[in-house]
Amino acid sequence: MTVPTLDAELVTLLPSLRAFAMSLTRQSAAADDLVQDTVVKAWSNLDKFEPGTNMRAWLFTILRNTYYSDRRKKVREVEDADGALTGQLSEKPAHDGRLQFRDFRVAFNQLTDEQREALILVGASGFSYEEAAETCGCAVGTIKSRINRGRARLAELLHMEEGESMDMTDASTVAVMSARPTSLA
Amino acid sequence: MLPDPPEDNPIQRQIDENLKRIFDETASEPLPDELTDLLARLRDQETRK
Repeated sequence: MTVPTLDAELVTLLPSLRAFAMSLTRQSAAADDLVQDTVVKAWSNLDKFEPGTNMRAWLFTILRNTYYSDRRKKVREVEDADGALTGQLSEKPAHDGRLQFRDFRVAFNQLTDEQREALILVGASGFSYEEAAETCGCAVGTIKSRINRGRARLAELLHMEEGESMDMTDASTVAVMSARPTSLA
Repeated sequence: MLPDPPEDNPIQRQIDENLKRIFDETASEPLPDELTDLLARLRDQETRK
C-alpha cells in the first residue's frame, strides 16, 4: 500500500533526479531510460522506505546503483549521438578570461563518473558531504577527495590558474606557472 | 586530506556556478511525457490492487 504523501514527495524529486541522471549518463535518452528504471524500482519498494528518513538520498542511491549496475553489463561502446563525450575544448580561453559554458560542459564530461557525481551532488544539488557519502556508499573523506580532484582536473582542462583574475605581468611567474601546471593541483 | 578550498576562491566559484548551470538546465525542464505516462500507469496499477 503506497502512502500518497510518499508518492507526492517522490514526484517533487524527479526534476533533480533527472539532472543527476544526465550528469552521470551525459546523454538525454540514456538519462531518461535511467530515470524511468529508477522510478519503477522506487515505486515497487516504496513500502520499504522509512518515512521521515531522507527520500532524496534514497532515490538518488537507487538511480546511482542502477547506473553502475547497467554500466558493468554493457560491453558495447555507447553511441555518442549528442557528441557529449567527444566534444572538443576551444584552443584558447575566452578573450575576457571568463569560462565558456560550452567548454565547461566538455571538460566536465571528461571527468570520471565518481568525480562528476560528487561535484554535482555537493556543488550543484545542495547535498551535504554526509548526504553525498550516504548516497554514494562511501566515506565523507572520499567524497571530499573526489570533489577536490574533480575541481583540480577541471581547472587544469580549462587552463584556470590561481591568481588568473589578477593581472599577472610578472613574466617569470607566468613562465613558471605555465611550465608546471600540475604543481598547482 | 586537502583542506576544503575557501569559498572566496574565484576558480572554485566559477566552477560551482557552471556546475549549477549544468544541473539547472535539466532540473528546470518539464518532465518528459514518457515519465508522466509511467507515473500514471503506476498509480493506476496501485488503485486496482
